[in-house]
Amino acid sequence: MSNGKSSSTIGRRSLLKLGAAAGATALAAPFYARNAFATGGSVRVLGVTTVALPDWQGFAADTGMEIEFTPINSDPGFYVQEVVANEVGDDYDVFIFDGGIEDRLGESGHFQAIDGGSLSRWAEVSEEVKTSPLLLGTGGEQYGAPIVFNADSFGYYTDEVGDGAEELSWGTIFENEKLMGKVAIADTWLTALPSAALYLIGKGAKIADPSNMTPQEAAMVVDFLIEQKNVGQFRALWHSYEESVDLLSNQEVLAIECWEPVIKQLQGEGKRVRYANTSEGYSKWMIGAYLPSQAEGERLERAYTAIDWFLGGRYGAEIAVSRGYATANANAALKFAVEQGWSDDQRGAIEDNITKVERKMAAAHYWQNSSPDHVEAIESEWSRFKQA
Amino acid sequence: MQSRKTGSAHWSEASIWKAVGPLSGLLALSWIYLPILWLIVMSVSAEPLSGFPGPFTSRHYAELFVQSGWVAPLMHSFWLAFAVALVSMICATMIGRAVPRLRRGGLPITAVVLLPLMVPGVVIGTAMFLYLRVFLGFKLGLWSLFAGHFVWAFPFSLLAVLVVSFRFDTRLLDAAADLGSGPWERFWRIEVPLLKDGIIAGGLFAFLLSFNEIARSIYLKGKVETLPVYLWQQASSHSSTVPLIFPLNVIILLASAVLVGVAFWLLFHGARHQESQR
Amino acid sequence: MFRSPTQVNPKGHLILLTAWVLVGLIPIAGLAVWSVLSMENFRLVWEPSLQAYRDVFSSGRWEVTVRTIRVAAIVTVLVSIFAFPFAYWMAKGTRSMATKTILLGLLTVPFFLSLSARTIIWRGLLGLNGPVNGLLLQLGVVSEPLDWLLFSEFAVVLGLIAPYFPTMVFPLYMAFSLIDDEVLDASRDLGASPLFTIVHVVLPLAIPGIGAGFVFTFIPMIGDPVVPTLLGGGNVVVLAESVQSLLRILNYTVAAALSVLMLILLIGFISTAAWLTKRFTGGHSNAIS
Repeated sequence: MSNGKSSSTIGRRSLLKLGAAAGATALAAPFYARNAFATGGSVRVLGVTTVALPDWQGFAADTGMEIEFTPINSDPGFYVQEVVANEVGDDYDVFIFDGGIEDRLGESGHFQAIDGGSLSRWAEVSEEVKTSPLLLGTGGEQYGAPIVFNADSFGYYTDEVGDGAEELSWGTIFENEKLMGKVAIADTWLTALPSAALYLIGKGAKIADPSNMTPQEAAMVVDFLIEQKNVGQFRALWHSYEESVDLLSNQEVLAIECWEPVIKQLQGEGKRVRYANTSEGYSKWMIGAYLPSQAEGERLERAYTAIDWFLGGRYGAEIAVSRGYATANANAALKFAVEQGWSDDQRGAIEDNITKVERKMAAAHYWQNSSPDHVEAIESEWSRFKQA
Repeated sequence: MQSRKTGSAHWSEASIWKAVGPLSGLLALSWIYLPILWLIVMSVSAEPLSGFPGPFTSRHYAELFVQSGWVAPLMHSFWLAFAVALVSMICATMIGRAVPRLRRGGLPITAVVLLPLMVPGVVIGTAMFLYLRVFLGFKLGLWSLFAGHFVWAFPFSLLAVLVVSFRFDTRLLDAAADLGSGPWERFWRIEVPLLKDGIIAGGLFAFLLSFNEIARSIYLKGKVETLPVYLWQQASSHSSTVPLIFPLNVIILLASAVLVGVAFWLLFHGARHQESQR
Repeated sequence: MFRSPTQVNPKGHLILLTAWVLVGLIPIAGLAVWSVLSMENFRLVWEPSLQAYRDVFSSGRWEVTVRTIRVAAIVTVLVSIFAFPFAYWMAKGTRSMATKTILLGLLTVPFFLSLSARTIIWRGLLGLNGPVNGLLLQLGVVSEPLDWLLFSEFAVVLGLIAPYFPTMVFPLYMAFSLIDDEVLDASRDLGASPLFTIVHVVLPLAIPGIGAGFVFTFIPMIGDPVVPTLLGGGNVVVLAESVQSLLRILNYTVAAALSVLMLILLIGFISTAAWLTKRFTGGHSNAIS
């Protein structure tokens, strides 16, 4: 998240954007001032920490509302528990969760469909993004609005793996003599199994949908992974952002399946690392905004206002700079940055993001699916891999 | 607990324990404090996750104070732990003084109290969640956090009291009764002073267990956030939580060192004072 | 109504124990029920089946129970080796109140820190390019960095020692403190060697403390995923981690079955340990064992 370079050109706004560069200077911008503009009540959001901004002043300035942002761990099991068993729809106006459970919670009546007509910026959102399966119900209902998304791959040291001009195979991670014992993957079936499936499909295996595998397909992928594990391909499995940073930063591993901000941070620290362009495809995810079925009347109006803001330029620009993640309307983000006179570095980050998204979204991919049809069999196969 | 014998040479003075004891303690304490000292060094290093210190900076501390989200959860954790400790102490004293005097039933009671410890925290948390929330339909909150922490901490408090109460000589109470003292006086002036170490250890342990409890809390919290829950939520973010890992823990380290120092000084100094007056 | 001074009022205790059953024990009994049923959107589906137990065995998941007990037992033994002489020395070897207070304080303070913060530090230290391997290479002890220093059962055991040493010391210290010096002196005066005194006088008298130390140390380790996940790097899967993976997909049935299996193993393990202790120490004590 830290980006030391850009702190040289400090405008008042750029301060708010860079949680890390903030340092001592930001101490002068007291956080209790954040509600200065809020007059129109508040909107209560239960959301994953990845979408949180260090500071919500911009939200208050643009919407006239205060945002009460309650963090939730990004664990689909907890979303379902909170929404279904704890009935938190009574207490929050908007949910911002990783997509993948909306088909289930929409069907059971816990989410209500989003009416694009109530969002002023809905038309600007590209069709491809809007129709991500992570926003739609089983019958095609629009349950989610896109907030933040990315196409994940893996990071690597350019000296050891390649300078990154060409596209790399997922085999760099899953089957590679040169890097044997020098790679790490995320400790979750959610990405490890479908990514390995992409690689195997590239080698000619028959897997219909990596994000919704049959038990037999999952077993085949796990057999392959166990083979690789037994010859010592994987140094470690990671569970949190910090763990993936320390693995790559210490050169404990030379290539790692990870989130893009990890690579951004290490590049900021001067490490010669890159985030891979892959030949087989990407692991795409989407964090969406969902409406609890309990929201109605004025609550619902505030919820729509809030979602509309997330689709706008300011949020897109701030997330692109601090995380390097894509938002629904990247062009609006760039326009915002230009209008606000952001630095070249910051504008560059947003422009890079636009090109990156165009390139990666067009490439082959799968959408990370936290509730595949055979989730219990898949989790059980993953456990078999862990035990092997 | 103080040595009452004075005069002739202490039996253990000649023994090998005099050397092995401090040495093993020194080794273990170094083992405990090595990572903690490293944590302090890393909290002022630019890249704390790299394994090597420097270049030095106070940047992470500055960032910690820009975000204020951790303050309220810290306070919740502190007061919750305090309440859990107090109630565990009282209940452990009640049950703990009774168990050794039961002709039968002592073992079953102890076993029943210890049983919930044998199930991993996440499972007990889930089980309590399904029971309290799904089957009984209660709204969860501070009370359910308290219940979860109590079920976790109380068995340890009880054990701490039992260690002392098993060695308690009940003839002292008979003697006091013969001398005409009533039940409350016997309790306060004989039992409590003699069980004191176990009671205090029980309370201290309950406090510490509750303060760091996470597995049960994530299921029972309702809308309340404790510090461990807050950190756990932040840890799932796709961004660095270095300020929350390094500087925050250094600050907690210093604060708790002061707190523990004052508390222990009062406890033990007070005890010695009493002792010398006797 | 007259009560003997050593009797206790049963009423208060009954209330407490009832509350305990309601809050603490019913959920555990529930586990056994859930392990043979299933849940659909947080509603119980009444179709009893032993499928969950079959899954636990067919997926190889049962191995986590054995591994968890093994790791916890090794660490318990290791910390005992250090905790025993240390606690004994603190209780009987030094009479300086200041020393005791400072040592007890030093043992207490680390509990306030987050365990993951204390543990993640080891990753930097024990890694392939970390200072420990650097030193070993420098000294010529090894020619290649040791890869088993980290992400191995070795690393997990190493990391567990620090957080679970004080939990063993506290109860032992209390138990040793309670032993009268006169008893020890008498033993010496009768010509017993220090070792004989330890084995035949101190140990039997300290049984409640030893039992408590075991419970304080061994039991919390069974349910603790922090150190194994951070230092095992996915290679050392323990019970809590496996259960978390199941709960993430709301598979309560298999999670419950796995926990019930662990509960049975633990009760067996602890009863055996208690029985052996009792045999070993003869009839010396009326302790919880």
